[in-house]
Amino acid sequence: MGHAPGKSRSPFARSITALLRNRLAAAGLFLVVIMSFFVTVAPWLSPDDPTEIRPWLGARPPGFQHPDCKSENTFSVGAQADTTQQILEAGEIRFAVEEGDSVTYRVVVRRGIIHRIMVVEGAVPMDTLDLSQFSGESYELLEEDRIGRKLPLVALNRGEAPPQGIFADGQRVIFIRLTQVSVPSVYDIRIEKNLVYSIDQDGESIDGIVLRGDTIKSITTGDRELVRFHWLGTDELGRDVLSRILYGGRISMLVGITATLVSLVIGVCYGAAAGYFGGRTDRFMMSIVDILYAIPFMFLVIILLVLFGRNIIILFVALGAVQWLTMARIVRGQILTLKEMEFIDAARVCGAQPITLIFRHLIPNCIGPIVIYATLTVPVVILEESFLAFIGLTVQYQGENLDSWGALIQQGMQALGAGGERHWLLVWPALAMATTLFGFNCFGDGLRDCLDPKTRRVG
Amino acid sequence: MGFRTILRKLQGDQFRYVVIRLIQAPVVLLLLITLSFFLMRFAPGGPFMLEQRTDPVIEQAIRAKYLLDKPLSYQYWSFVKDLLRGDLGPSFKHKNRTVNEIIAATLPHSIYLGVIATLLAAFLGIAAGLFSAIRHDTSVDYGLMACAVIGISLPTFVIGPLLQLSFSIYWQWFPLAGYEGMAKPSYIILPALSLALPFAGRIARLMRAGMLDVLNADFVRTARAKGLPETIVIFRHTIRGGILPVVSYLGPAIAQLVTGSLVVEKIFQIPGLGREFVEGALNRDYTLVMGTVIVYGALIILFNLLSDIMYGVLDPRVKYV
Repeated sequence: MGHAPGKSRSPFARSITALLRNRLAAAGLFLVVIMSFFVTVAPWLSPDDPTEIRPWLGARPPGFQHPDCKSENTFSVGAQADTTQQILEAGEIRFAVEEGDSVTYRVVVRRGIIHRIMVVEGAVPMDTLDLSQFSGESYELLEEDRIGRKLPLVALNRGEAPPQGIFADGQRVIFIRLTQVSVPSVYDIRIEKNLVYSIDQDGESIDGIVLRGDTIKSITTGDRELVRFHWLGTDELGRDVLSRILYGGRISMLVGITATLVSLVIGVCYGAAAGYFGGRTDRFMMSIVDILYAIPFMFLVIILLVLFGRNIIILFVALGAVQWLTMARIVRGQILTLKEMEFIDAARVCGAQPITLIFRHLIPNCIGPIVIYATLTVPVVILEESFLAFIGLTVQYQGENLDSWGALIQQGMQALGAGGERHWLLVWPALAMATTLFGFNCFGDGLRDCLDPKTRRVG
Repeated sequence: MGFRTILRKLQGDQFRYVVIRLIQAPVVLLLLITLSFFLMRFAPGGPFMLEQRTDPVIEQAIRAKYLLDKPLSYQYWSFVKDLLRGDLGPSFKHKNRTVNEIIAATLPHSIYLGVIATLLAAFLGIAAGLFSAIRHDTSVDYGLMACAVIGISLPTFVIGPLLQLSFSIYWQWFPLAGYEGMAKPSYIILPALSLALPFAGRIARLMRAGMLDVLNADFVRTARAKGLPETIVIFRHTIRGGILPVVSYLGPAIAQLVTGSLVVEKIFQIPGLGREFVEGALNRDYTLVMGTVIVYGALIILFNLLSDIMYGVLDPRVKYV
């Protein structure tokens, strides 16, 4: 290769240059660095708390925005306000609220008469349902909360034939969604140092109020409107998809790196011992590795998770314990050549014990291949963890599900809808996963190429 | 060519290599069985930990039924004996069904899916690899290899739902999910494709690397110098050597294919063994999980062995070290 003859460079520096000259590998490295950076700084970067649930929002497409508040915002004069930080800091704030209550009823007809009338929430049975007594409108509620026909405002009585226009021909069960005409009101609230100073409802002073997130239409302070913007939309529970992807990546990377470290410790110790002692010990230890290689470990990991619970620590250990085999082979090969070198003889003459020799002299000298192979292991572990999450074995920490990318993809697939209308829930996590793995693959290929002289390109 | 002829053809190192592999395979299987047996027996919260049952009579009955009152060596031995008779025991969760019945009912569907996927992967991968090796260092080569890397980077559980979203929801070319066996092949195309694509990518790269190695060899230059047409050079002289890396990949590929089928069967709702295994694992159906692992393990070990032997037969240079 053409570098100036006077300037001698270490083989390591040369392989790094070769790696960066390989455009695909450099692009891969770039992607990996970018993705790792994003997920590392997720707590600062993430626009929202990924666990903040807003059931009234449901799944909304990318770019959706809504008034920024909690599910329940409690204000009472003289007490601490329970709401978002932004509202607390605003000082004077105005909420526009529209309370449009809606109730869903289920009506069943049997043999031509009304057999049962029930409020769906709470399953309260009732004898009469007079749709006209409410100053609102009623609609038939279809599957997946879609609104169907508009229904006439008539009275339904249990044990009587249903009035015309409610049931379609042959229909036995109907869900009726009754919406009351909403009453808009405006609340002006003054907050100083987290304490509520005054609350005005439409100009009249009141003592306290709980404002529900689903009823708030806008929040303004001065002429600024407080909104929460969802770059990649929200999921069915109203959680911000971008934040969930960022935090999910954190879990994926955390599992990837930790399990790799576990595999590194086991593999390096095992391989170094086999290589150092050599001879019969080496042959025995390596034939164990050979045999273990043939075992389909993914199934044992699944059994392990089923038996011991889906604790994240068990996952680290299980995945790490699966991945150490190749590391052991690589380290052993390196040690076999290294231990014949003069500096080892020198150290031995100076009276170094085997432990010192291995950990002070041999292992530090094969750190290059160890680091490179560890880099190659990380995406493999990420893939395996996501695979486990996808089939339903989501890792847990203290009983809480940790949704990694695999879990997000699985949930996205479940929530897709019949016509794929909630596609952003699947596409964005899948893209994040694919980009990261693509980066790792390209980078890994480049690493392998510059490490292994045999596969170095000739042409 | 019978097995004996193959063995007779193998000499020295080659013979040793095949024999060692043949001895290793049952050892590995036994190890897998032993590991899963002891995991089941000793895991906290496992099926054989009797913590909650307080009634001594019931406990005694249960202990007797599952041989827990016998020494561990006896338990293990009777478990292995049942296995050797091909009996995997009753299912924990499915009443009135044995694990054998469940496997017999579901495994054929998984095999059907696996075979189609393997053929698809082999065809796509070998064709792409061959083509990009012949057109080495042209835009065709780069394009195909970029596709291969993308294919490898998209794991089955990413590509499956994306294929569903595009080909069956938006364009509606294929059914979304379900399984109709061989009667309606349109149901099997998307699952097989999502299972095959990562492998096709890897096979393409291996094939390309193997072909490039061989195309630079001296005997190929000789063949060309003789004036043989390029198609004969490629198909008669180089493929056998070029396909070697693919053959050695076959063993690990089957293992990954089986793992991938767990996901694909879940995504496309194919009533195969993979889906049964995942459901069994989530429902803690211990005997079913165990039986499935043993069947899968045996399959994977068998294919590893076959691929090793094939490699030994195809490449006379192989040595067992």
